Amino acid sequence: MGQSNPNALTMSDTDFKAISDIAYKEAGLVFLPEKASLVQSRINRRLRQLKINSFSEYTAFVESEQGFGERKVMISSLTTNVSNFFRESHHFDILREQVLPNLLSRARAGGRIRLWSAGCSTGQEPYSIAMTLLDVAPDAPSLDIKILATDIDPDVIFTAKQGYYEKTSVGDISETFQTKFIETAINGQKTGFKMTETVRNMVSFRELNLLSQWPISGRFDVIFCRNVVIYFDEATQLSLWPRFESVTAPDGWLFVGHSERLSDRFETKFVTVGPTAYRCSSHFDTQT
Amino acid sequence: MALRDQIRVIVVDDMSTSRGLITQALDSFGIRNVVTAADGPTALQSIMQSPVHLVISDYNMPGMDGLHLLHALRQTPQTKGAGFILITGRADREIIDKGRQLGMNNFLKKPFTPPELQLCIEAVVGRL
Repeated sequence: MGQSNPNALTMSDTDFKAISDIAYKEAGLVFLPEKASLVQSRINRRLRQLKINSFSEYTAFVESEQGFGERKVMISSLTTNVSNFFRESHHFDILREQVLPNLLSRARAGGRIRLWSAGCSTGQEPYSIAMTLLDVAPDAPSLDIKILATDIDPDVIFTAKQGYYEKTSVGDISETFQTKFIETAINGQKTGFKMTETVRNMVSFRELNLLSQWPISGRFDVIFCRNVVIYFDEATQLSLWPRFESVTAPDGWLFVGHSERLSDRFETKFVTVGPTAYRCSSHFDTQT
Repeated sequence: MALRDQIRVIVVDDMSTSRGLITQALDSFGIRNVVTAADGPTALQSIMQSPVHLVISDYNMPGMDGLHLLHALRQTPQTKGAGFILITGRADREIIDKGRQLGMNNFLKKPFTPPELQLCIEAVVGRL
């Protein structure tokens, strides 16, 4: 029965170790033993799709040379893709009230403004940034302002690019923003909503593993990296923050998730300016 | 009289809800002369009996898919002049290229908004 019903497949400690080792090596993800049931349920779903009847067979495949593609899919299955529009709304208040006024003055004087949603999942975060921006500055499309949105998972990038969402998530968007920035969309037998073309055009989506090289030129004025590093161990986090710092513009802002903090174990120019909001201090200390 | 008052359209989709949603969108553009068909053979029969200016067909249908329907329409003198828009959930290069070879006039990828459908139609038949 256990073997004939994929739902009943259980993962041995050896399989868990093999999977978490690959997840760490490929994407810096850390799965402690208490997350074994989460890993089991997510990989079980993948086993059913592939019609594989045991975890050991799956791990052997993933570890093999031919399993290169599957390793990416496995990482995608393991990463949580929960996202909402305007999640942790205080960040968007800061963006609107404290960040954008200065950036827009610069942009209107011909400056270049770049924002990055790192770990953007299915796009709700970068589109929330874009809607906030367009609400404050309807002229944003004519300025040199771009939002880069990246995620390790090509599937979520595909979804994000479409900008289509089920009706259930519309409640996260204020009625004023619904009127301005979304349109009803037909998707076969269902209707949902789609971000307007103006909103979609503000965002460029790219696949990016944060642990790999960042093919990024120039610095960012604002970086959202929220609820991403919680999946990394401290060593990986410690290696990431300086990298974010190196691509943050003088005076630039960094927003992290509600349960995340910049480690005090490294020298940083980021200073706390609000709940889970940081600012790169090197220049604004001397300029303000 | 505006084009939207004159144009006759057939919507082909095996899913009744999809047919309904598209018909509703057409109605909102002022296109009221709309017939529907749940499969390719029924659509062909209907068009032979009563010609249309525009066919809006889903790609993925059991039996005769959207491209087979397009092929059949282009083979028949009475139906070969109708505009054809393919609606597809998978805008694969292969499907689009095949469609173009067969004489598809435009395509629309799901999900789409009513204004996108209107633009797609206007690109084929002109301003509604």
